[in-house]
Amino acid sequence: MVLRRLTEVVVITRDRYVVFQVISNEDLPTLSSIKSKIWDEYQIIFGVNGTTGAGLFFDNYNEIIGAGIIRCEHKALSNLMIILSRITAINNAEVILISLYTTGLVNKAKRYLKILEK
Amino acid sequence: MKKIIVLGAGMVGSAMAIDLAKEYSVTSLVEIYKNTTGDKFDLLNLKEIISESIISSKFNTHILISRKTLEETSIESLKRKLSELRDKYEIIAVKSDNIKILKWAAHDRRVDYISVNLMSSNLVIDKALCSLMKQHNKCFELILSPLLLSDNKGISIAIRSGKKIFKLIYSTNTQFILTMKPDSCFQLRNGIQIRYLAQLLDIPYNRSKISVFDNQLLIALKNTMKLEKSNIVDGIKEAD
Repeated sequence: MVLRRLTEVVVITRDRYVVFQVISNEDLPTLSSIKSKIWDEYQIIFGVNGTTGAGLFFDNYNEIIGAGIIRCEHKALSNLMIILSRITAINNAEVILISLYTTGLVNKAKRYLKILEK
Repeated sequence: MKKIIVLGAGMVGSAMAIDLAKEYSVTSLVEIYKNTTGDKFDLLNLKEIISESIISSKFNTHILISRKTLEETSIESLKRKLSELRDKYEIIAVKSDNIKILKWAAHDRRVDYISVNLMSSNLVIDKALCSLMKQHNKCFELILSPLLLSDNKGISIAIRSGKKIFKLIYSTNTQFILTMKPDSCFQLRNGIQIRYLAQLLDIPYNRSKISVFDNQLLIALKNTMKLEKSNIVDGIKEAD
């Protein structure tokens, strides 16, 4: 009985960490511009409700290689992938955003990013 | 050296091929077939021969498949174009807003794809066309580049018509392929990205694998046989 109540109350959210990289012919965009672009695109396609439910968080962005980590909820992973593949330009500069690696552990994502930095 | 297969030599693909040709050797499926089989024509083992030659370590070249999209306004002009181009391109697609032309093209064995425009205001394809395509073992081609538009109205039109088209294709169980047709190299997307984009049109991720990877290669292989002189048309028996 107690277990049943607990499962009703507790909502388990599992995070996914996506390592992404920006490819561009021009100067690589800053983290703030990438953030605002992804948030805007997410709101256009999935609305404000969808964006808040996605739990997006940007971390460990390296401006030299243009790679970083995005955290999202596991249910919003495919939506985030759609948004990443939809983006063609940031601040009028043509870019491609590629998702390189997806994992459920932040340390694994950081390790992958370190390999990229080397 | 890494093995790369370039399928499609349109505006962007041909430019890529020219650039790649400076550093690597570039070839087509027809060339591989001729080199591996010689004069012998082994229809039964064709798929195995080509896959072996692609996988083998000796083979390290890039494969290009030429493709032409015909946008004709009448059946007569389409017939003329097809008779001119049938031996010059490996894949021939037809794009039109006229359903009569599309129905005629669905019958013709020289046509491989029927391209569907997601931006068209009225739905061109119907159930009859879908069943014709299925009967003749042909594919619809859904071009997903309109989904990359920054204009909100354009995206909503593309998603709306794309959902309708996929519903029709899904209900009739017709084959389809997903492509990008990019205007610049920044619109190029890999197979997995295309599969994610297709989710906007209600195409489930697990259903789109065949339409992104398998169907395209199968058609290319089939056409390699079609372009051979010794090819025997389906339904015709070779005289002893």
